[in-house]
Amino acid sequence: MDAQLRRGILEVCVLTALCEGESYGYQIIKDISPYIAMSESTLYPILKRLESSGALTVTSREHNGRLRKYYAITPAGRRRITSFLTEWEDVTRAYDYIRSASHTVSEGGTIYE
Amino acid sequence: MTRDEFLAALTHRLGYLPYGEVKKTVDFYREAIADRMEDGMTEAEAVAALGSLDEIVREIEMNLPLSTVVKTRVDDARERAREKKETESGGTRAFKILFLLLTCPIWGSLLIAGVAVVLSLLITLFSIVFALAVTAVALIASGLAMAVAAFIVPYPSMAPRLMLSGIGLVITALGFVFVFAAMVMGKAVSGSVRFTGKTVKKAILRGKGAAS
Repeated sequence: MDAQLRRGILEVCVLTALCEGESYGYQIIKDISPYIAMSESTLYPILKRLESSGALTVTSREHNGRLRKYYAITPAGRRRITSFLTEWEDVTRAYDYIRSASHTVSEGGTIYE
Repeated sequence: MTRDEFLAALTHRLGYLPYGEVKKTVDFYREAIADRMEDGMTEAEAVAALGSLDEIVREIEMNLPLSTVVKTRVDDARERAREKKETESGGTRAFKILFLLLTCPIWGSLLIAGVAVVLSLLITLFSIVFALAVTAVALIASGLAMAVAAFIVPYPSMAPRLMLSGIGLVITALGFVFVFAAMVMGKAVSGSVRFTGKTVKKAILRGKGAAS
């Protein structure tokens, strides 16, 4: 997948994982992993970007004698998901078109055989 | 690799970054390891699950703002120069300085030419946008003035008034076409400036990798 596209999708996935309530790094990875692969090295810059753009807020709280960072989605973050879904409808339409024409793609390759 | 070894290696690799940045990153990975261990992994498994150190450092570097990258690169170069000063003998250093001074007409003029070309390209692009915007404002203002003036000036009949105000409106519409052109061009220019910034950042990071 194109890196820019993947990054955009992952950002919205992280925000979606926070829709049900606040969460922490490892839990976010676990929630997303059945749908798209993500490691801490990818998550860290994404969380930083989302925080600086105001899509989420961070609070540190004690957990089992250590500090753990909890991330919560903001109204701006929710708007980001909504606009992603709207924009994605165009992509889905294009995908359906490509998919419906896929038999001509493979047939085209066999003409000269 | 143990947790402490991993975090020490990460701190070392990011050592050239501002202290706050390094601390935040190390805290994030310390927390990630602790959470995985709480989930039942052993320490070694938790560290291994984070992926390779190279990958982690590359992701962090590629997401740093350009200003931080340039600043750390300059600090890096300064640090290396200081280290070299300590290890090199006076004679070698003097020879190097002399060599740089003697070849200055060659590399100096090439450097100035390169910077001048990039700057002139940027100025040209910005002036195109500026010219389009000024033309748009002039056309809209003069067109509207003409359309209004046609009814103020005492013409003997209605026909010249209608004709002049019509022409005025056409000129105004042309002005809006220029507004559109300026917006498209502006977008293209800001895109190309961003692309140049990104390319410079990549080149700097690659240079750092080669130097260290």
